[in-house]
Formats: sequence, C-alpha cells, structure tokens
Amino acid sequence: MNLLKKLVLTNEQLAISKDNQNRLRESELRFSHLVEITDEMIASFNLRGKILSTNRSWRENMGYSEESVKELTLKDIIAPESYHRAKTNLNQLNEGITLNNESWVFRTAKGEDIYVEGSIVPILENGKMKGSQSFFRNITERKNEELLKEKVTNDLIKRMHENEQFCYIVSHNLRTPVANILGLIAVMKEESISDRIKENAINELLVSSEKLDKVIKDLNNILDVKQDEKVSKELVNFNELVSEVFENLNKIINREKIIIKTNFEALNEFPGYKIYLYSIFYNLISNSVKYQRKDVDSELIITSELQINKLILRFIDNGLGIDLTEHGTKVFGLYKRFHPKIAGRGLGLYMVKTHVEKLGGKISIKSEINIGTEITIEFEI
Amino acid sequence: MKNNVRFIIIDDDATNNFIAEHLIKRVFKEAEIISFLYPEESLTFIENEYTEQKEQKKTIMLLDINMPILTGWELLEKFKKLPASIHSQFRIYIHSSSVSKQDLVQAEEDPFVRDYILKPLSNAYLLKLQAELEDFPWED
Repeated sequence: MNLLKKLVLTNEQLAISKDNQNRLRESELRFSHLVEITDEMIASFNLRGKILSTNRSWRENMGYSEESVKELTLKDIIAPESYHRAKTNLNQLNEGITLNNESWVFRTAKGEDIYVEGSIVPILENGKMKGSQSFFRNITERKNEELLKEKVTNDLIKRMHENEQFCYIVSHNLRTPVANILGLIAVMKEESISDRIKENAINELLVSSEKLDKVIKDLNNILDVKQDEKVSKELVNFNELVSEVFENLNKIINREKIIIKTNFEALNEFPGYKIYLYSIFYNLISNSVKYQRKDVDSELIITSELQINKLILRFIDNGLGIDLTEHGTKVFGLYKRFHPKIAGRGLGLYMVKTHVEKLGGKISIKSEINIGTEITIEFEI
Repeated sequence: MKNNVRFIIIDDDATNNFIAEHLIKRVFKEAEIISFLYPEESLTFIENEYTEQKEQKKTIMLLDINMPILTGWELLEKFKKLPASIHSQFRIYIHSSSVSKQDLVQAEEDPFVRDYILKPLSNAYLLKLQAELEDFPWED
C-alpha cells in the first residue's frame, strides 16, 4: 500500500516535471530569440578572454561571421586605447565583481573603432568563476556627435578668445596715439614753454596722428580679410609668386643680400585666393629679409611637399630667430614684435596666420635665436 | 625730500616719454629723469645701480604695459624677484593708455603697484603725487 502510494506520487511528479520541461524549453527558445533580435551586443567569454558565443547584433556591429568569431580573443576586438583597462577589468571580474556603465572602444573586423557602453557580468558556477558575459550598446554615432560638438565648442571658444584679444589690442593701439595727442596739446597749452619744446611737440603731434592713421588703415585691412568672401579662386603659381614678391620688395626696402632657394617640384600650383597667398609669401619673405644675421650668408629656402591629402609649404631661413620658449604663444599675435630695434609693426605674422586660416590651412613655427626660423603651412587638398 | 627723487620711465613709445619728461620737469624741478625705450635695459640698469652698497635716490617708476619682448606685467614679475632692499627704494605706477578693465583690476590687485595712471600724464596728477610724497615720505 505504501509502496503504491509512493509510485502514484512519483508519476504525478513526473507529469508535472514533463510539463515544466516543455515550458522551460519554450522560455529558452523565447529567450534565445530575444538575444538574437536585440540591438544589444552580447558575448560570452571564458576565463582567458576567448569568445565562446556572440549574438547577431554583436557580429553585425563588429563585422564578423559566426565562423570567424570562434578564433577571436580580447586583443582582436578591443582597440589599443581600451586594452589596458580591459585587462585590469578582467581581474575584477575574476573576483566576481559585476562591471556597470563601462565605456570601451572596440575594433571591428575592418579595423574601425566603435564606441560601446554597457556592463560585464561574471559567470559563476558553485561560487567558482567560469567566464564572463558582456552586454554593450554601440554608441558610436552619439559619441561622434559629442566629439564634433566638443570640437565646435572648442573652436568657438578659441575664436572668441582671439576676438577678445583683437579688441584689446585694437583699443590699446587706437588709444595710445590719442593719449599722446591729448598729452602734447596739454604741453603746448602751458605758459612759458620754449620754442624748442613747442617745435618738438608739433613734430610729435604729426608722428602720433600718423600712427593713428596707420592703425585705422591696418584695421581696415584686417577687417577686410575677416569679411571679404567674394574674392575669386585661381590657380596660383608659386614660382611666379616668389618673383612677384621679390620685385615688390625691391621697390620698398633696400633689401640686403639674401639668397632665396625654391623647390616647388612636388607642387608648383595651388588653387586658392591669390591675394592671400601673395600676402603669406610677401610677409614671410620680407621677414626673412628683414631679420637677417649679419655674421652669416643669409639664406631662405622655400619648398612645397605633398603628403596624403596635404600640401606642405616650408619657409626656412638662417636669420635672427625668435625665442619661442619665452614668446611661443605670442608669435602670431597682432602688433607683437620681437626685434624692437628693427623697424616693424608686428603685423606680418598676424596677417600670415589670418590668411592661412582664411584658406583653410594651418601654420606652425619652429625657431631658435641666432639659428633661424622654420615656418610650416599645411593645406588640405 | 620732495625734489630729491628719481623718475624711471619705462615705455617703448618715445612720444609718451617726451610728454612725461616735460611735465615731470615742471612739477619736480630738481628730479632726475631716466627714460627707457627697451624694458630689458631698465632691468639691467636697476640690477646694476640699486645694490645694497650703493645708496640710491628714491625712485618713482612709471611703467607701461604694452611693450614688445617684455610687457610691463612681465617686467614687474622680474622686478619682484630682485632683493627686498631694492623693492623698498621704488614706488611703481602703471602708466598705460589701456582702458581695459582687466589691466585696471590687475594693477589694483598687485601689491607692488601703487596706482594706475591712465595716459596722458597730467599736471594735476603730478601735483597730487608731489603732495603724496610729502604726506607719506619713504620709510627708511
């Protein structure tokens, strides 16, 4: 009797258990379907970081087939910048810690980097670490937008700062001759001043008025550059540009001996606004002519060079040079001067930089006192 | 005391120095005036002349801000690194045409700067300076 009762019970249990098994299988099917259709990138790894399984989204985002995935290790799928973090994270996982809100950079089969965000959970069996499972979302698009926004913001801040600096300098350089004119008038209005002082004051008045006039004319030039979008592009020949600059320099300054060597073999023509390119060449060449060393044979080398999608122009002289450790940030500033005993108004390099930027390029400088200066200009082509 | 004083004008603008020298001479009849167009040269002068051994005239420095190579602010930083015995022989005035608030605030906050003189220097300001020298003579 007892035995029979037991048997019946066991049968009932069997029936229930069979039902459970069916339900379990169904739920497993539903679950694995979910795993396949979700956009979440899911993968599981063994202890050594070898991939055991991946879902559809993972493979699609990473560009691997189900077959090729089997050969992969962590090193293949993580971008170098994230790899070190991944290794330390692995140690944490081995201690059974779940990692949430992780941002990593993955490297796809094509070698492209994608930004992902998500969590990694350790897989434990009887308290022992068996491996891990990762759940990531591809946030590359969002990340790129963020990076772009950041870049735009930084550019804007930089532009704003430059504008502030511009206003400061302009207001200062406008006010200086005005203050002088006021001061000189005060001197002249005084009683009992000598004829000599009076004459001096009148001369100085002329000097100050001319200075004021020059600043206003400079402003006109600078603002023209900042606004004038209408000038037309043309194919500019570098060799012709150099000889044109040279002719005009001869008219203006009694140039001392300098040898100019050019090599435009890589590229001798560039489509751009000629007035800007002219100004760049003019200012850089005239700087090399003006700031020569007396004890060496002065030389200026101008070359063009082609790199991937880039034209590089170099102006290398063996002149006086500028101490960049002390003045590095100022060299391209408006009305900044570094050789006070040689005539100049501190406009040249500022105009060069403005014109290079107007043409979409970048400019940089290397220089050492009594060795020379190297200006590098990059244009995308 | 009031006339036995030296002015050092540091300014790259010769016209300014002409005006300042002329006006100072009118108010401080006995004063010695030395102008420097190149700020670095003024520093060398100070370093050589104002040693502890040599007794120098008390000096009023009129310091321009906007100069090539070395700005007034940069010069002031270098001046601060000199021995305190030199500092005590100077009264420093920023003398600039700048109306920028940034410069005004910086002058106000700098303990080495006694006042900010907006160019052009005037007779009225120099008279005020003279009165101040009488009221607050240099402490020895």
